[in-house]
Amino acid sequence: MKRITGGILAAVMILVLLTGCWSRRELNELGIVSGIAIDKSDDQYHLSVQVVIPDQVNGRMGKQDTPVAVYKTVAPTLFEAFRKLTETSPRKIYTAHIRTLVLSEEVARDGIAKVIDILVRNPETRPDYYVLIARDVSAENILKVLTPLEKIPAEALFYSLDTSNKVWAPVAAVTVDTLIDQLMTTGMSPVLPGISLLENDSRDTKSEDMRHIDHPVKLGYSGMAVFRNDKLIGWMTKDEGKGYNYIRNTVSSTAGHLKCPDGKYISLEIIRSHTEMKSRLEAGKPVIEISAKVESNIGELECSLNINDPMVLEQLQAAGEQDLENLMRQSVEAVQRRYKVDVFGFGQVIYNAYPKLWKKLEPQWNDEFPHLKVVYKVDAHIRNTGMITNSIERRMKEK
Amino acid sequence: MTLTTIVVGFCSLAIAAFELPPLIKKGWAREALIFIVMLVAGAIVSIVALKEIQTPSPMRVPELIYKPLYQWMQHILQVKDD
Amino acid sequence: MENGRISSRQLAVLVIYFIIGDMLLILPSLTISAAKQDGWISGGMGLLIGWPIAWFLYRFSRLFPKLTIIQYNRRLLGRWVGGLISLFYLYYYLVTTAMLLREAGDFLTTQIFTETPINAIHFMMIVTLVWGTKSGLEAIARSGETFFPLYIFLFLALFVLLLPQAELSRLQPVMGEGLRAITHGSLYSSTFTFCELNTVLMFLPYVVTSKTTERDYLIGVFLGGMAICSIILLTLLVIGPNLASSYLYATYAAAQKINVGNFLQRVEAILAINWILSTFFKTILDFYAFLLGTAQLFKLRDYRPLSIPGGMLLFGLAFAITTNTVYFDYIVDYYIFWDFTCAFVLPLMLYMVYKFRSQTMLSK
Repeated sequence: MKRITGGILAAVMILVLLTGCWSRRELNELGIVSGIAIDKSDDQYHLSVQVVIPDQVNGRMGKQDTPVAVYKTVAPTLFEAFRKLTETSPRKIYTAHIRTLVLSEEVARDGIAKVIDILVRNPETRPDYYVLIARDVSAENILKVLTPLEKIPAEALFYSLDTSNKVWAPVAAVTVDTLIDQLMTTGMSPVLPGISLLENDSRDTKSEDMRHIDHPVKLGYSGMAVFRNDKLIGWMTKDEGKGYNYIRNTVSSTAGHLKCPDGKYISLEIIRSHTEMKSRLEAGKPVIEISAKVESNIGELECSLNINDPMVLEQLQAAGEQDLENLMRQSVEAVQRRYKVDVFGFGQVIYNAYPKLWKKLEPQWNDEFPHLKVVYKVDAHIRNTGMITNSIERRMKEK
Repeated sequence: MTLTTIVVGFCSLAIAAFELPPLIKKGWAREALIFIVMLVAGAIVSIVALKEIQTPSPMRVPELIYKPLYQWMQHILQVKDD
Repeated sequence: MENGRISSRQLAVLVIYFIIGDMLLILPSLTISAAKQDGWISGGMGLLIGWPIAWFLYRFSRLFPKLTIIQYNRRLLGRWVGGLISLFYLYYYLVTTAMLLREAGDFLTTQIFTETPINAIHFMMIVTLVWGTKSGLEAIARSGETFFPLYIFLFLALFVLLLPQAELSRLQPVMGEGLRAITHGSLYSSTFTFCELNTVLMFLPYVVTSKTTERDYLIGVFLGGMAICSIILLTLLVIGPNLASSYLYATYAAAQKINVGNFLQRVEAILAINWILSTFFKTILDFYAFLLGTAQLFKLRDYRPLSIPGGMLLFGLAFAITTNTVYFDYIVDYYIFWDFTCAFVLPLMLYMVYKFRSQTMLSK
């Protein structure tokens, strides 16, 4: 008797306790968010979320509609804004799959730390999405642009940033946890990529149902935003951005060019790049040594140099080294002059080598930084020249 | 007498009904006594927990005992932190 | 009353679970907040301090091989003083069990079941605890042994999956924070791991002793300590000192970064199983210590009837410990003293009384 009651009791408890129904959320109750945009005006936050419409992404035949929808709310705090989204959105917002976070320049100038706080505190969001600053446009409008190749625009942003990060030096992708780490690293200020809208006035032929081959509005990355601690203070030019990325060792592959004596260009494809920073002391003051090692191939030969000649290659290498050194130097000097914040992480380098010295320098680091001496050492190698050696043009002349 | 109290009370009686008879049959008076004491104490704290009434934490005891040591440790850590 | 016997190997396994215990959840954040990037050195130092203490506990238990500490107290110090010290230990076991329950509950309600009331989670865990203690020590040891291969597998998996994301530069500058910060960190890594091992004094008498028992025990302690050091090291390597000190559950944040070929990702919940497993075994052993100890203190014939009321007590206490998670940050600095008292100060005192008494016996 006792056994049977015990058994029934156990069975009931298992049924009740293990089905996990307490805070269940069915899949069709969730609004899966792929991108978030935050703007600010008059002390109110404007929150826009890009929600995926699963039917449309699936590619089923039926109502041809946009694959995502954007919902927007306005509220004094972000948390309220998120909750308010339920006023317009039919589903509960589910933030576990965000790919991109876009912040407007006003929000960035005001300080991004407080904005990121809510997203990091939330156990649902994961720290692997990219953060962007919307330049010359509201963050909301960035989310509203449809992208041709990738159905969900926020994913398109994510993948293009990911790819650019790997193959185009002026762009660097920053995930939220890297951002937080940089915000908390001693002496350092973060840098975030900017994004803006590119208008396109070409008039292409429109197909019957108003779809375009060359969309009139496209998204494009534009420059890197410089911060002092967590407030935006300015933008780096493209070359400065390149220099920055080289110094931070985030360049994996990119393209660059050199000028030949006759004014025409040689294109180099950089296939490997590695930069290290070290610190040494000179008369009691720290000096940063940046050593970069770059390997490249010749991608395009416009001019008529004879590259079969090893001397010519050496000259090209030397020119490349000088070029990169100039790039990095300009970047560092520009930041030292204009912004006076350590975005390169030099402080951390000094801390690693001379912890006690750093403890003394740290409180006035932003004043010391502009006077920091930086020394460069570049080692460039050109490995191969592609499928052909001398240019076709030169060969033609040789005939 | 809220629902919680009634439910907990009922469960406690049910538990006693299951566990006590075998003890008494074996003549284990001491065990039965301790059992009842713990059961009543357990029921009381369970009701308190379920109704989410604020009570002093059981950690207050070690807190009080070790307060001087704690303050001493904070002192040596803070002073040298400069 | 406890007729079960456990083998040396089971002892070693239980010791490993015990030392790792809830440390996977909370230790890295604690140590790294104190010692920043030198947290791993704190871990090593904790092992250096803690291993001798664990050995001392074993040797101490050998003074009266068949008796648990509750029983010795009475022997050595007489009925009243011994009873008082025993009550102190029992309170320690009970509150530690409640504390562990609370930690597991907080973790689950913060990271995974965010809207579930913590009482529901406590209830489910207590059901298992009561069932386990009613089944006896042997059952506990055997289930520990059964889960052990899974535990090791998941533990190693965590390392293997995260190693690609490790960066040695995050450990720099080594010793940059100085010895004081490292020592501060080691306070946590030695007490919460090895000093809480004093519970072993309650079940060592039931181990079938052989020539290898001591060695097995010490190996278990060492492995547990190494696991702790490596977890702190891994957390540092993967997420760095800045992030590790701000996240409440640093290893969970590290596990969130697992990403193998963009395919194996978002698997951190599976690793939570590991964390719950070791915390569970530590909890059940502490609960067992409480029940057995109470029974021994009042000279009862069996501790099993006390399981259910004990469970109810736990339910209430686990909730009462604190009203919110911020309390932990504050209470840990008290806990280190409590652990150390139970693991070293009191046993040492008892040992001296024993020595003194045997002297006087001899002289008579």
